[in-house]
Amino acid sequence: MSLPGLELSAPVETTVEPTVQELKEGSEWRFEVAFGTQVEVRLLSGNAELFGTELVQKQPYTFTGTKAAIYTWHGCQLEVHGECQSEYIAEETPMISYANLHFALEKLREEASTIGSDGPRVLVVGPENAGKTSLVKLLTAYATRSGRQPIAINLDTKEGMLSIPGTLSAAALSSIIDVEEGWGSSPTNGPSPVPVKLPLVYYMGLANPEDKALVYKPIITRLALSALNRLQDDGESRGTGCIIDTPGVISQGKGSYEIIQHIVSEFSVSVVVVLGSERLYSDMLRRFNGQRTRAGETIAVIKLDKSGGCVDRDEAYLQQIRQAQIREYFFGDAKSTLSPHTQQIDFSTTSIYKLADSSTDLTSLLPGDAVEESMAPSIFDKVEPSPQMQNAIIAIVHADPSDPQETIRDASVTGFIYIAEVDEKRKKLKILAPLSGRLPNKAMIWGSWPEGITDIVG
Amino acid sequence: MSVGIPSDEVAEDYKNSLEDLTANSRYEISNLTVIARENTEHAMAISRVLENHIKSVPPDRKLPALYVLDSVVKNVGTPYTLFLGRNLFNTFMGAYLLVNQQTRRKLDEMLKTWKEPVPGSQETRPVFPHDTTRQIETALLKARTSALQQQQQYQFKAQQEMTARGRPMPTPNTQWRNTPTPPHANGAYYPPPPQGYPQRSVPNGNFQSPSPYPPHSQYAPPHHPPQPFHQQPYQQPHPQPPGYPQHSLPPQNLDSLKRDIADLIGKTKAEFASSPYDDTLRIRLQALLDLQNILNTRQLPPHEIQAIRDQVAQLSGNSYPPSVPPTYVPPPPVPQQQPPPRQSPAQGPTPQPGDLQALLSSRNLADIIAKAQRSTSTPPATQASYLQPQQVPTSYPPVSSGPGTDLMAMLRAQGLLRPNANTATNGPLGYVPPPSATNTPPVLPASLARPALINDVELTPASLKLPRPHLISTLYEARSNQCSTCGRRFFAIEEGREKKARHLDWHFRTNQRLADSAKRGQSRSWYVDELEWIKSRDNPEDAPLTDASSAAAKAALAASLAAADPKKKHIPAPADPTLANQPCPICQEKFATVWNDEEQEFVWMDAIKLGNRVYHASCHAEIKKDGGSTPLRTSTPDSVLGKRKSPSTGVSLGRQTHRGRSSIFILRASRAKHFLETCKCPSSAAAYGSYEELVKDKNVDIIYVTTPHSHHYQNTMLCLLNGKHVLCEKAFTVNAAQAKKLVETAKEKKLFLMEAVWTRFFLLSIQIRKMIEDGELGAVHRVIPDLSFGEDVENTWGANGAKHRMVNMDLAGGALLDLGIYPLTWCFQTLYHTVPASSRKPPSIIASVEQYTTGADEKTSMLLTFPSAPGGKHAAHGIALTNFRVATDPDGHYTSGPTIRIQGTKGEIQVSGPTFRPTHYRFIPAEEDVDPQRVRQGRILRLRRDGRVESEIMGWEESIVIMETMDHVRKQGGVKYSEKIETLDYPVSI
Repeated sequence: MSLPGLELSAPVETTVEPTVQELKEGSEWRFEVAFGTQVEVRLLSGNAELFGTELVQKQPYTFTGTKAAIYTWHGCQLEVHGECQSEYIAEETPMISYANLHFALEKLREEASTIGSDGPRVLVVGPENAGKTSLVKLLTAYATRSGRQPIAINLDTKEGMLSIPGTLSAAALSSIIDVEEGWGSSPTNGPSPVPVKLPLVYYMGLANPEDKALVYKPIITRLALSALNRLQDDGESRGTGCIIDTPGVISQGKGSYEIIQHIVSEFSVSVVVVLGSERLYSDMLRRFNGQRTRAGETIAVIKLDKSGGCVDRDEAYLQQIRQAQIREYFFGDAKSTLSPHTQQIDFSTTSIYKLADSSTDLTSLLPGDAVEESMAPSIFDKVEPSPQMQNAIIAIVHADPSDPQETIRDASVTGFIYIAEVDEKRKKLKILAPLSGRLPNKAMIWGSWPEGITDIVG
Repeated sequence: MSVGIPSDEVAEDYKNSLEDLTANSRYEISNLTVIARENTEHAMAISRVLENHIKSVPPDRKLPALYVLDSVVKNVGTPYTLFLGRNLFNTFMGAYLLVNQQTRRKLDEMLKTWKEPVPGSQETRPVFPHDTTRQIETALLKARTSALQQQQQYQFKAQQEMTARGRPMPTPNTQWRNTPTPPHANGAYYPPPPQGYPQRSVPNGNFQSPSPYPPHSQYAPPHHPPQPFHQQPYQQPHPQPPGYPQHSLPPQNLDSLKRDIADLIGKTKAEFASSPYDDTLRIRLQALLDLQNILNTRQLPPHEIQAIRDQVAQLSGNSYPPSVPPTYVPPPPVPQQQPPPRQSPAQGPTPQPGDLQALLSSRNLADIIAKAQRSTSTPPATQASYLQPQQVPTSYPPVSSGPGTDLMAMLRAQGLLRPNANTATNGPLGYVPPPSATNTPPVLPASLARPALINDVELTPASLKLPRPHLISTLYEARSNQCSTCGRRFFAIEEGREKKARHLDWHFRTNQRLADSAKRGQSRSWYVDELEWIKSRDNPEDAPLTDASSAAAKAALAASLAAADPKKKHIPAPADPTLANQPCPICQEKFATVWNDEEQEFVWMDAIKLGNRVYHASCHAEIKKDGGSTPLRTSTPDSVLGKRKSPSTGVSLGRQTHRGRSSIFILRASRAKHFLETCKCPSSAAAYGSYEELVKDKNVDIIYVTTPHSHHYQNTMLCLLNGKHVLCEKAFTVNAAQAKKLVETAKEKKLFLMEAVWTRFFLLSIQIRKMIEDGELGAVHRVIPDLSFGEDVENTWGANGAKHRMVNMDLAGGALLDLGIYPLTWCFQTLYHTVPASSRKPPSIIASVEQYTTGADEKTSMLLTFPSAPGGKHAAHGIALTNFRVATDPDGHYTSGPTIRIQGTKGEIQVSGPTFRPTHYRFIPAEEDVDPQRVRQGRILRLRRDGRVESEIMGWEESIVIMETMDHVRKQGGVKYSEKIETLDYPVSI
């Protein structure tokens, strides 16, 4: 359910009269708002929802840098202020099957609740721009609206969920999902008009997980462990299960779906939803249909159509999204402005681990063909701050600087800092931290993703 | 809080308070709870007192006393649950068996809540352990069961009775009063009541004191078949020696019967006199009088008289030989014997006077239960056998439900009494399990609450494609109760409404906070780690507030909202230009002209017009309070409080004695009243039994908190949350974090809050600050204040484990917080306050601290470096000294020189007298030609009464900086107070 390409031309300031969109039942209004422009939408009458989250009548919703669709089951009237980059009403949507998927899951959840087992673990796979995240959001929102508490899991490092890009995260959602801003906000030290969601975040630091399965797979294992533990521990979530979003790249068939296989086994996935790819569906059917999970449930593989609203998002747009996510991490959104904290820290107080470059594999430097057990490819290189670090995002993880590399790799994220300036002479870093106070004395990871941004501190 | 008070004093005090408790007064009960909370160290003594009290009070006061117990265990919890749990069975059952039906219902409800966690608390354990409550339930169940058995033994007993009749009567009262255990108690679970207890509850009618012990003969029919009958409660008022002979033969004539009745009446009267509150006694007396009246006014056939005689004989504790002619007994119609059980639970608790049915029918728990069950659970077969005795002329009428019933029935059968139409609605007759008010309505799990719509969706492509509008409606119509702010939907059923109410509360709170957060700056928190995430629970915004104070907080919030927009007195802004430009004659400040929407015109707020002058309403009120003496009072702290509505609204929390504070903090209303009388306070002054009580009083605007430092945070928070302005003694809190939190709360609620540092408000202090600000000292480089008491610490305040508040860690004792605040105040008001607010920078601190044996600091010397000092761009030193061992003023006459020295490049100010209340100062100029005696007319700043919530002289920021300084000093000196007084949590019982 995302959307046509966009022109990055500066928005033209024109006063546009509010337009009213009449939606028949079962249709949706697809719209795009460029970064830098704002569109305000009001629901005048009827019911409407955005990726499963219901809109309130008369309430203004402001969108910027968004490609989305507002769907109505019963018909509605929308009032739109501001200019959309593109907008149209679509009458053909796969919403019926999407909603039915939710009700099918509800049935499984009810069964699980009665016998006290875990609710379905749903994996959504599909190629890029098939609307996976939108579907995950929709399923999550519906589950929440049905009084459940699903755990949403994002394994797509290109886009963050409740965090910045380059991360994998999980969160239990029992409150309403933010209509205007992705998933909502992670906790701050102040109030938030939409309930905050508490994510558990891991840092991958790479755009393409297949580049470094050495890191991606263990993190998935770790995240799965945490999520399944939470399911066991939290009665609210247990019967609901989890919904897993994935990057499109793992569905391309390279490495014979090794990563999908890994996810299915680690999360004990019971429902595989294939979105918008016949080939993938048949591959998944062959691989998983009728297989049993560890708990003995039969894995179901189902296929859903891609929404006609899904359009390829170009790299420029995606980059803007990423930058917006990073900016939001530090500075908040339109609803609540955050004050990050600039400070100077000594080189000596940092312990930065850089994801090792695959090419600098030490084994290749050994004489002859000698391979030593102990010379397993290293994950990280410990580095001193250097000018290349300028504008980079560094993750601070819940691990001691002296911990083994595996521990650091598997540790969840404490937070992110932005390196504003590297002063090599004085051996000082000027950094932007989300909050004031001393930085936690923890290990830091410097990944190559998300790419740095230059204009964050201005 | 009650430091050093022996437990028995507390206990005695508590006992007295309990004795004042005669009704279910929420006020008194919460007061008693607060006292219990504040004296947890005496929990054992208090628990004992409470138990004894419950045991010893008359039945009609048992419920309030039990409510105290209930309130204490729920609101205070441990250790009371522990102490009270031990004897809970006895306490509860003892009361249960003596109280009337309505009260029992209340007790059942109470018992039910004890099996559950305290509502709204995070505690998941029940109020009392299940073991404890189960014991009680088992006993109640047993009682009910044995009542049922008793009834099944009905016929058997009726027959047995005949043989038992001839025997001399055992006298149950004497029996069990004189032995530690009732001889027939077949269950070991009923210990005897304490001595003196039976006589309180008169064993007539419904409230049988000897019968609280169900296993006692009446509950053991199988083992002691004849016994039950001989222990009819009606015999009990007349304890007689075994084998009491006089009445072993029935009197032969009517006169003797009348005499017996008269005797009975006399005895009953006597009992009634001693227990005037016993309703049933009164009813019984009434019944006997009625009977007497009948006998006196009507001629009765002999067999009827004989029947009456038999009943009376039984009532008076005698039995007659079975010489009664078998023919005279008219078997009473069964239906008439049975009416009592069919009761509606709504029936009145006390029987109507003169209602014989009530008198005669219910005797004790088991009987009551038996009756109830007879009507409901006896199968027809039993009924038939039950009728049998009537067909046997020689057998006695079935009397298991008490001779009175039969008397009644017989009398009625004979037409002596009109049939009582009310029988079926008599109160205490049938035992009906009470409908519990605390019973939550059946909660529909979400899955059930959903309409029974068939969810037939399968995970197959075909099934997924079918439109299912009925399922879609579960996302919309089924949850018809929608939040208009965020669109969240709730069920329209009760559960949904509750959730929505909490959800809306959440919006409300968030909006409140949002309005404030813009100024404060907000930043993203660090993410949690794995374990924390796994253990975390997504706390939905509509979950009940876990904070126990939520209700109070909400109330306070509402109150503060109301307070934020008070109905101020206002007048239309005068059109006359001269009047419009005149200031308030009292404070000389001009009036603020604002647009008033309601009035649709410009008004002067807080203004009243008297004659031709316009005054600030609050200024005027204050003047009137002072009797018009001095419009401007000078240097006392309360002159800056402002914002008063009426003279009597300033209240001091805690009591301050000459030096230090009274250590007794059991604030009973009666004591407080006494205190007011002793001080001859005006009648408008009010007395409160607890802080909670005080903060709930709408007439109170501002509260002066003078409790020990350790309690400032909790007490002040209580006041703020209840919408009261607060003046809080220094040291403001125990640490800076607490101070910040208080300030935050005051800001949020728009309430006045100030640390009461009187030193800053003295004319002397104001003048000194002015001189510094005016540059008369040049660049100030050093300030050396000292406040030290040369005490013989060990002997004055106690050595190891000393509890004196000066050294008591639990009361945040120590030189720093108690005395050090004054030297610090001097450093700050000279080196910090005198610098423009924008360039104030907190000092860096080097401190040397020596600890006393208790861990409190006894010698603290602080070197503060203020980065930007007044009079130049330089750093200045503040050397703040405090010490318990040596004195600033060893001889008590201040001959030792200045207590404070403020040294600048152009001269030095030396301040003499106590550091906290200096008496004079002198200025020693660096150059001789400066007149040292220049006297300045200091202008005393007054806080305007226009809703300003922060003082300029003692601002929030400065209070916080000082607390931060003290935090640093304590950190450097390793002085750490216990978590419970350093905590930000509220409420915490200290």
